[in-house]
Amino acid sequence: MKDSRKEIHLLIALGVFFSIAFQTLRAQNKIKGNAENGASLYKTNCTACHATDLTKKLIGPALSRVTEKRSRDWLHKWIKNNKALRESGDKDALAIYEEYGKVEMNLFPQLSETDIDDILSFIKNPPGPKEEKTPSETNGKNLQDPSSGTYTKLILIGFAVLSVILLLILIRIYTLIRVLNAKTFDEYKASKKKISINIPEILEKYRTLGYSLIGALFLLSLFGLWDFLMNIDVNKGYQPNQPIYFSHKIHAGINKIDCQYCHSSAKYGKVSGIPSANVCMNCHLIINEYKGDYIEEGKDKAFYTSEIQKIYKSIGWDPNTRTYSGKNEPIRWTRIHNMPDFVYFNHSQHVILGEDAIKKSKNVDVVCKACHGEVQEMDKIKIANDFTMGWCVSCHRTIEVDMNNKYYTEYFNELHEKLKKQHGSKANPKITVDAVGGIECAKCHY
Amino acid sequence: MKKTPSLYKGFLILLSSGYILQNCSSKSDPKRVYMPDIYYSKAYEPYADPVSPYREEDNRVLLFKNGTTSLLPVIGTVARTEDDSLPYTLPDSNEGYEASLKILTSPLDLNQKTENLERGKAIYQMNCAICHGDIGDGQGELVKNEKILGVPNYKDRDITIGSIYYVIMYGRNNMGSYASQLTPADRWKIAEYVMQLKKQ
Repeated sequence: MKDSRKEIHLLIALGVFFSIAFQTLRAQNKIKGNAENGASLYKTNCTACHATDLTKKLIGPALSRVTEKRSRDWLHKWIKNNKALRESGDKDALAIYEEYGKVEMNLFPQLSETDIDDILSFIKNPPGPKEEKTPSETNGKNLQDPSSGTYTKLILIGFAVLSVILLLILIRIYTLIRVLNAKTFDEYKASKKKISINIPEILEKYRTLGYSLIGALFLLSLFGLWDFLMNIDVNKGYQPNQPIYFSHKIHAGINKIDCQYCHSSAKYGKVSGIPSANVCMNCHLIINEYKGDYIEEGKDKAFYTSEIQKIYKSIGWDPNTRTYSGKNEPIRWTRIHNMPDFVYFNHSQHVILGEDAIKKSKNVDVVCKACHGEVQEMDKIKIANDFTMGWCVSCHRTIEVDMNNKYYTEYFNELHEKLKKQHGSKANPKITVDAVGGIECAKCHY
Repeated sequence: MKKTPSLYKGFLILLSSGYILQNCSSKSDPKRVYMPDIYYSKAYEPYADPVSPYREEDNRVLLFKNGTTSLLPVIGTVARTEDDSLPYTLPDSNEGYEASLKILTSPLDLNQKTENLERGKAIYQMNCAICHGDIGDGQGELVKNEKILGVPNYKDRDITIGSIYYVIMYGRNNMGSYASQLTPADRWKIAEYVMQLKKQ
């Protein structure tokens, strides 16, 4: 009895000792904080280099189990000032620095102890994956349309097949009836001849109608020919398939990216320019799958994601290892606007110098829209205007020159006054582009 | 009965010509041109293979290695810049970044400060505001839509005009290089504008 009591005492003592020791150990490593606040802090401060979902490796490591791997103390020191920790000779810190190609992590002296605890508690207990909104909620219309479209197509095809079969059966029945009605084979033959349509005969019968019909068709074809000739090299509506299904609607419309972000040389020179793939990578380094709500009819998110992969293939980027292979192949976009060699057109002249005047007279918010139309609404880019000489000149005759332009006042003051006298009324001089040489042949053809 | 064959012919010709004309106006093909050899350039066009869609076989110029006209300038080429600045010499490395932090003034003309800031603002709004926000708080359109996250407020970071230029030039972390989109003078103008946003 005595022995067993002793044992029990010992056990209790040991238990108490260990629990206290364990408690203190735990207390040292205990991360207590507001995970919600941590999540927002994480988003603003850390996601530039660490994955939002904590499981992927980006510039910095995936952080999902870091709170188990390292102590709270170490993490605090590292986050606040990783440089100081490295310089103090901490082995773990140096190892990480080497592992990630000596890319320095930013210092975060502005984060308080509680802030860091909040972030760590978020990393420790991340809220479950965001519930995917069911398709019917977010964009039921967009998602249902393609399927209903295919259904109607199927139904239509079914009807067509059915009607063909019915027609064949009817013809069969008709022949059968005729065969039944005819008493002899000759009679049957005769009955067949009776219903056969003799087109020459009919034409002979309705001669005037036939000729007037031909006359109308002739006029129509003349109009067609005239229309065809007038439309030579007028490519309004030209909308070819491009190697990557780049949607201007998603980029310029929904995400409101400025035209000249990608077409950057419009402000510098003659050509507006097709962005090279490195410009795509400015955003698509991070955005490697399509998560937007907008989906065009007949397409799905996987389609858009696969189009993003085409950029990676072209530029030789491996999204898993986050490295460039160095092998790249150009994206062969199909040019839609072709400016012949005998015309000179300069984008910067219109986009910089003429910006205000063009915006005002064409009543558009972005200068590009004056000629290229509502690009932000186009899933597939197309030519929005005629782009003929008459079309150019029609603007040059009506758009007023911005006479307050610094360049003009500085260099052409005298000329200014002269022009003002020559054009429009005295009180309200109207100097359009043609007044300053906008329709002179050699301005654009030389 | 004598007239009918010509009537037939008339019908056939009209219908087929109508059909051909109809086919000429497909949306995915460009329209015909009068003189393709001058409509489609024989000279090099920017962003294009050195071939003319008019007659591909006889004008492919195999002058360049990869058969493209989009080439980088020869190594060592010095661009004539708007601000007459010399080529940027800091390397794309941690040391380069450290060195750039010590640059506290831009090489732009101080007398042009207001014009430079104006231009800087315009280009900032074209190229940077989409992520960094109109006032530099890191709340641009793409951040609000949660396409790109973790864009810092300029006020929270120790940046100088030199380091801003460095980052525009080479990119840093998830931000790419903007050297292909902006001229050196415009990069400095943006840097000046960003410093102004930071101070505000």
